[in-house]
Amino acid sequence: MTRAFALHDVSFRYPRAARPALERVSLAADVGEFIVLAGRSGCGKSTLLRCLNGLIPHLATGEFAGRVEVFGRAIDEVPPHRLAGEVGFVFQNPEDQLVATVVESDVAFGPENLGLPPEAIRARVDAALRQVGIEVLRERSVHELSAGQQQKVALAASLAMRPALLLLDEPTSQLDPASAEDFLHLVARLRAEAQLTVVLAEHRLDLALPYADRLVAMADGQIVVDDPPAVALRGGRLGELGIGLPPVAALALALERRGWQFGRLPLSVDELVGRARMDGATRRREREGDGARRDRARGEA
Amino acid sequence: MIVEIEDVSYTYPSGASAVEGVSLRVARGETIALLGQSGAGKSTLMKLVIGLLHPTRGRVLVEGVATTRTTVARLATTVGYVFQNPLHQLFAPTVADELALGPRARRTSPGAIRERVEAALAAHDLDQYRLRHPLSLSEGERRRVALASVLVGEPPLLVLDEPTVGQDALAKQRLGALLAARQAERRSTIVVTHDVEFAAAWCHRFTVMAGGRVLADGARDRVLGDRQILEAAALRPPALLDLRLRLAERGIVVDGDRPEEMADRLISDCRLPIAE
Ligand SMILES: Nc1ncnc2c1ncn2[C@@H]1O[C@H](COP(=O)(O)OP(=O)(O)OP(=O)(O)O)[C@@H](O)[C@H]1O
Ligand SMILES: Nc1ncnc2c1ncn2[C@@H]1O[C@H](COP(=O)(O)OP(=O)(O)OP(=O)(O)O)[C@@H](O)[C@H]1O
Ligand SMILES: [Mg+2]
Ligand SMILES: [Mg+2]
Repeated sequence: MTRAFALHDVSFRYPRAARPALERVSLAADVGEFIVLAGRSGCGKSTLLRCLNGLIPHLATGEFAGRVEVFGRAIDEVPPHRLAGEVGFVFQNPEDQLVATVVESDVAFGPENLGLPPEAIRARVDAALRQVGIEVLRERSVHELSAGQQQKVALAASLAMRPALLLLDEPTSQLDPASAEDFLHLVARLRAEAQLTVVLAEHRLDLALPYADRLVAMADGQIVVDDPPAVALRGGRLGELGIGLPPVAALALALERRGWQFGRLPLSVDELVGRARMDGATRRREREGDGARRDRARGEA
Repeated sequence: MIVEIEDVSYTYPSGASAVEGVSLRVARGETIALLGQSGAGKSTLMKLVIGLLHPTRGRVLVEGVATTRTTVARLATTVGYVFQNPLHQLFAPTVADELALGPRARRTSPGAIRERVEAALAAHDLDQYRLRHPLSLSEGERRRVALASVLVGEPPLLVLDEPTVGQDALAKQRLGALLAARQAERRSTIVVTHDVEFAAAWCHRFTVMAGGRVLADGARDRVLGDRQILEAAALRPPALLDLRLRLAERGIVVDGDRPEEMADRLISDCRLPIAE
């Protein structure tokens, strides 16, 4: 396995802040891993992602300590344009990320800065717009879009860079559930096909966990849990950390406390229904149900 | 009725039609979830309610007065709006100043302002940030400041546009309790959200928009349990409601919405799964 990134003992304090936003954080991921980053609002998730894309310490002032490596090199030794091509970023607030006034120029901005030839840029823009389903918005002004449409532009812009490491900060917060699901499926596919490494900061674990290899939970600027999702969920610490469990996982855990055993902890309704043996009860009740329906139909007639 | 939307359409100056023939009435004490695909027209409709936009057809009445016949500032005393993007409403140099802006504009006395600001800082767990610049906060913290700054005005109608972004489980719980308290006081709240789990837990009326129109409007299980509506509005059902309905199709009736209650019923009705 090759290392995608590593943070060694990273601390960071924003200017004039009373306490550090990150305190001696160490975290590493192999190429192709999918990490979900969770924790209470203000615990340092966005700050950690900013350390991985070089925003900290390059563009943000503050006290920085520690070492960050991306694909085997110290991050401050990678030239900025090279880093931009390797590490993609989707900001938590899409408006912070919009750089051009028209959708297609916004998506083209990154690839243009990589110095690619025009045909290659066009191909990447076309592909990215298609991938997030916003070809129809291509000539629209970014300021005349709904918030979810703006977020899709931001997603397309990050995909157009074809990064090897993708950092996603609550990337589907403004999207309807179907679009959110589509995007996460897409990321999972890119990961399978192109060995994409993903770090996804998210409050809604029900959306994200089905795709994750690891759940990393933070509290007050430190990493306090780093486990496969099922282990973290069964570990029982997430609740006390203020992290909401996916409803299906909460139900499965409640069933386990009552004596059921799930091999792999189900995270979706499909998984739960598929895993629980409901056939016996089902058949019995289906018969009763049919009878009841017939009676009702007769009564109505 | 606190709001009456009568056959309203809105087309942006660019020519984009965002709302088409919407009629909707909001009574006092209602907690409404406004759901629907990105671009369905939810935020536009809410901007018509707060008077930031005026209908190109039809009319919007707030407490019986057409929004075209009053000012945004006057409407703001009845309708509090928390924008989808907190950057659009945070202007003051510190969190405490931000919370004082509203009361100050309404010429509240300095003593009363101080009192309200202190209460809001405490209620929203913002005390430690009082002297911070709102833009130096995390995304979730910013949204809590925006929410608190609107709530100090105690508006009879509160409109929240995507309030759960950046919010952890405890903050969502607190927000839900706030909605319940408002409902008990016969105040109304409209929650525009993609967070179906949150809406299902705390709202009692579900209005779904698609393509600028109202596609469905009704009680939770009728709206969120209807596959056709969900499909047309790019929605997914809340997980445990989905499970409950799927079991019901097999004749297994499981009451309750909470994991513990459901687990009790499932234990008595289904066979133990074997570890794989
Ligand atoms: N520019 C800044 N100046 C000072 N403090 C900051 C700044 N940005 C963030 N902070 C503080 O650093 C801490 C971590 O912030 P961060 O944005 O990383 O949190 P987060 O985990 O991403 O939260 P959320 O879930 O709300 O997005 C918070 O307490 C925040 O107030
Ligand atoms: N300022 C604007 N000028 C022109 N068209 C706009 C403007 N704002 C929004 N629109 C368009 O109007 C339609 C409705 O947008 P609106 O913001 O109301 O959607 P929404 O339901 O709130 O979506 P989201 O869930 O993404 O926030 C969309 O097609 C959008 O592109
Ligand atoms: Mg954040
Ligand atoms: Mg909107």
